[in-house]
Amino acid sequence: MTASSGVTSTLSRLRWKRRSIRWSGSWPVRVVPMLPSAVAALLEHRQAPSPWQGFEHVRGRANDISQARPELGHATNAAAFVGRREMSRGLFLDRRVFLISYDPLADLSGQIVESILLAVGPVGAGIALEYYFSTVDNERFGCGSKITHNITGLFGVMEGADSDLRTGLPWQMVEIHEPMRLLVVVEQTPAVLTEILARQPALQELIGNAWIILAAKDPLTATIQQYCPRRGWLPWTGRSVLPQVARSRDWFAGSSEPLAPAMLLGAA
Amino acid sequence: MMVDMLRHLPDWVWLVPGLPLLALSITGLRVLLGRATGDAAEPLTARLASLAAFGGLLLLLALDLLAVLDEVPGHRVVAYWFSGSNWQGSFSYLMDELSLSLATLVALIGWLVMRFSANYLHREAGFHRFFIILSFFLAGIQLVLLAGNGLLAFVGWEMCGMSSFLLIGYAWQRPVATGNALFAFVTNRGGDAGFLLALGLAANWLGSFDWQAINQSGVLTLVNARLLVLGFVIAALAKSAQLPFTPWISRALEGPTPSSAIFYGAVMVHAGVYLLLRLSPLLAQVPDVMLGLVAVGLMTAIYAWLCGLVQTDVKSALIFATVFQVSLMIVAIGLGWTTLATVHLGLHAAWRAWQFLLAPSWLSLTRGRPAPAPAWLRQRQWLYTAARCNVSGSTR
Repeated sequence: MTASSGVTSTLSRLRWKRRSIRWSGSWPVRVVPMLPSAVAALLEHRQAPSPWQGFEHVRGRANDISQARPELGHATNAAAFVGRREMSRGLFLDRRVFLISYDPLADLSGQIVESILLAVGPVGAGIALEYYFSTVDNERFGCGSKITHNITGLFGVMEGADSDLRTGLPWQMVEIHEPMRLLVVVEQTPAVLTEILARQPALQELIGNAWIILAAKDPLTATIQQYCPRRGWLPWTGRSVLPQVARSRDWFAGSSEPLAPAMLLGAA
Repeated sequence: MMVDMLRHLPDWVWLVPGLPLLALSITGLRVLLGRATGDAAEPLTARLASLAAFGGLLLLLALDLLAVLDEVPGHRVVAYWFSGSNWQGSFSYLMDELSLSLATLVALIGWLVMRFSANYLHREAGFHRFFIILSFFLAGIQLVLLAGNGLLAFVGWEMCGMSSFLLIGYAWQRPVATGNALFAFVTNRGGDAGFLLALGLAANWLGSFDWQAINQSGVLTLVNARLLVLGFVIAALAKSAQLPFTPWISRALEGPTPSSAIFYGAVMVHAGVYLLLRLSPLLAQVPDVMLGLVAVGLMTAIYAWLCGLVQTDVKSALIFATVFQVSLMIVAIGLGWTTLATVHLGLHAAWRAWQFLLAPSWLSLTRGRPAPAPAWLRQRQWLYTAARCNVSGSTR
């Protein structure tokens, strides 16, 4: 907003100057020194589109037949939170976390979280690993660049008129993805989770072989422990203080790289 | 007043192929100097290429206006190139109803494809290479359309063949792509041999490469005219993928979608039809060759229809539909219906360009299921195999 008003004011100043010196014949002398600031204001304006402009831009791309990047899908996915809303409220997570609602206080036996994990584990691992492998070796595990793809039988793609069917994700979908395994943070005690793990071979396969990483956030004490397949539960020690910003835009504006989480204080 | 200004324009028609050449030289220089790297270098390349295409379109529209308001510019010699004992090569352009209308259409399609490609090829490793080759092609095809003599048209013809080869092999890391590029290139050289033969005969017998001289009636004996026209016919059949040259075009779909659209869907595949339309007065002198064209066109139509029935991928299905329509144009020319063929060419080029550009979006456009090959074809094993064999994979 500030940038656009900067442009308007610079331009209106220019216009005003122009009008007042129209007959003096020396307007270039006065106007030309102002041009760099006007250009800078315009450039600044171009770099930071308003959220509405951004929305319109993305919506336009979705209907553009020349666009090989219509949406980002699950690109940059990094973690899944299974817990109460308080766990993530007021956090800027850079659209990288799956949020699954779950109330641990109403589930002392762990039956509910067991069924949640049986769904979240394979699905989350499937998504995260598809992105992971398509990113680390796009030619082999992904399907390469979209631009030579040829739709075959309305069910798949091949390259040109003659190749094997290509599987995995195209390069255009994973170009901003950081390959990493999914971190599943569950709001439940390690004891309950250990019991579930012992019961469920599907979860043992995923977590015991480290295809996904499991962490437990104690519902009462809020301490976090991470599960290591070899050594069991290990206390998590990391920086627990997050940068604080007023609004998410203050954190992401002007940056296209993956961002660390931040606390949002609200726009009040 | 305006017409007076427009009257100077035909002398500037060389800008239509010239502007894309200028754009590709600048981009090529930037690549050579290492300036063309990263996202920031892309807009300049894309804008130069589409600006050059748009400039050509504007110039042609102005020439069309002149042709409508005043008179058709006709044959203009812009510069002399070189000369032999009894002939000379010149940069001459023929701007008549046929060439102006088709050149305008091609300029429009070229400009739209450039605009499409700027988004489509974003962040590709071959981004600048693609625009250089596409500009080269645009210059070549405009030379074919606007040239006033066979020699200049042959230069454009070769530029098209070369850029076609380079874009089929766009993904040069894939052996299939480079193999198919070579296949298409070699097949097209067969047609070029015919073109060269005809040019040599024209130089020898007529002392000129000008279309008007070649099209003159009563100069050549029937035998000579037949031989001369056969050379051009071979060139046209190869370029327009008629039998026996058809297999190259189904292997030519390895490049990025917009290049498939402009080369094999919309523009280059029609170059052969255009050559025959250009030479229709000469063709009219040899009715037996016209009869041959009808036969070849009909055979190709049946073949393309048969192949089209069994294709499973969208690009191959489109390419056989294209070959089918082109063969109908050849039949129309053989029957002497040149106006019909011209109109057919223009409508088909525009429609097919749109279809090819839409091909990547096909999954989101349709909810239907592809129709299987008809039962009568599936039951005849040898016929089915013959139709499938056109896809290079099944021949290996």
